[in-house]
Amino acid sequence: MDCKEFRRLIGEELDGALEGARLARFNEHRKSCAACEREYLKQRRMKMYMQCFPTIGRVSDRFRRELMTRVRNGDLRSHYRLNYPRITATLALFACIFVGLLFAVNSYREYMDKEKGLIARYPEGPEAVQTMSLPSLSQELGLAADRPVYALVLSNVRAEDFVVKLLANYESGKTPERLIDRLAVETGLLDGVSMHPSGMGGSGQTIVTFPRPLPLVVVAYVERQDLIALRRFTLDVINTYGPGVIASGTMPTIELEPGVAPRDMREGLEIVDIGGGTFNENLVPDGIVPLVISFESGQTENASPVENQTSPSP
Amino acid sequence: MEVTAAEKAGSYNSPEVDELIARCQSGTLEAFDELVARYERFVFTVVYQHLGSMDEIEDIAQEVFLRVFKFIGRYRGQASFETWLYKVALNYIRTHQRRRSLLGRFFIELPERTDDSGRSFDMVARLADDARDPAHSDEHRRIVEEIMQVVHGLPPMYRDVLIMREVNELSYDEISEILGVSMGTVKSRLNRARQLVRRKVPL
Repeated sequence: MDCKEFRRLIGEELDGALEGARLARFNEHRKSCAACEREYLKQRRMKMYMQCFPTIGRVSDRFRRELMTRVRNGDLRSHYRLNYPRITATLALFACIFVGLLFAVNSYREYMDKEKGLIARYPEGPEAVQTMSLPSLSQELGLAADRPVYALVLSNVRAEDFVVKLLANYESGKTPERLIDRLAVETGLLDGVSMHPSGMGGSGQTIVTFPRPLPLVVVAYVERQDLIALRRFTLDVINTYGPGVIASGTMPTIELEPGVAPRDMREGLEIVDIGGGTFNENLVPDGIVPLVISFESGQTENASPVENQTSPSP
Repeated sequence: MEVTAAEKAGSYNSPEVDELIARCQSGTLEAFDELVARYERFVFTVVYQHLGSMDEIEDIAQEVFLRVFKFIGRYRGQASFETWLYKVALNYIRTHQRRRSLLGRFFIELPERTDDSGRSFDMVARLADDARDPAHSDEHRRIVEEIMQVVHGLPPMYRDVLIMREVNELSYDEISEILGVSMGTVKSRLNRARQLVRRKVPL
């Protein structure tokens, strides 16, 4: 018998199941191998210790009395009870989370739905930057000497994307036509812009082609309801689905035009951020007020026309 | 589990146990009271050894006996009554351990037990004092406690078979009957359990 077999048989020997010739060979190996003998003794000691596990010595009479009371009363159901209020609350919580997730996923899916999407196509690249025109803001703002200037800084949104989102929202009936007129038509952002179906397998997508890059800063003249509509559009569409606008409460930084810093403008000019939390529509004066919208200024090196896709907001 | 003369005579139980069971099966409450008195220590010990603590031991033992009362009609004498009782107890311990899992703890209310006078029972501490400890010296006791900890840290499939065989000295047949597995499975689980304990306890 080798050590491996000996160790395999230790359990059997301790159970008393080893007898005859196998037991004789087992004992013979025990005498000849000190390591196996030690292992055998350890396991035997272990078995003896386990036989010393404590037991219950006495059970109170009360136990039986209580048990028999239950039996006599027919109270045989387990006293463990499901905690129904807690289960209901947990299920309700999970249901709320589930419905919320469904709503979020559905909203996002509808927004990203390509079936009725608008695709912006506009020139891009270094050449496009060179030919980009900026409005002469200091002159234009000078027209509104006694009124605050309203500003919307969309530092992560291209002007083309803004226009396409505006059009998509207009198509879904969320943006009034008046705002399109004020922000896109009167400012010339839609000049030369053409729209045609993409023709990609009848997907229903529309290509919006911009003949030239749009300016980084746009000045529009709007009324109070236009500002309110634009703020709602910004919060609902740009803030929700886009990369976001500046944090509320911070004043926008507007680069008026290259080489003309804000200090060159008229002293005491008040700039009100309509995307910020401090905007109060009741403080907007009656009549026409100037609005400056500043867009993303980054340009890529790619000179080929690029496409960006937007759908009507849900 | 001792092999009695009754087993050799064709029954696994002694005549008085068979008679007691028959009376219980006919619905005699006094017989059930007698049965509880006879086996309460056995059930408490099984629960204590498999659970590893005194927590809720009375609740569990009570639920075990209530199950016995409900289902004693199903006992057909195909194994000794102690084996059947062990099986009922072990099944209930498993149910209890599932309930005491994290989710169970959250969703299940602990029973509030009262006697006829409406007083709460709390005998756990006293029972702890009553636990019989065959380990005589401190060193002996320390080693036993260490082994108990290791045994109760084993996966249930190994722990149960080890306790049944090494602590309660059930036969392979009885273990196989209680667990509802083959004898080969019992032996392999037992070997594995012994190895695990041996590896973790330096002797």
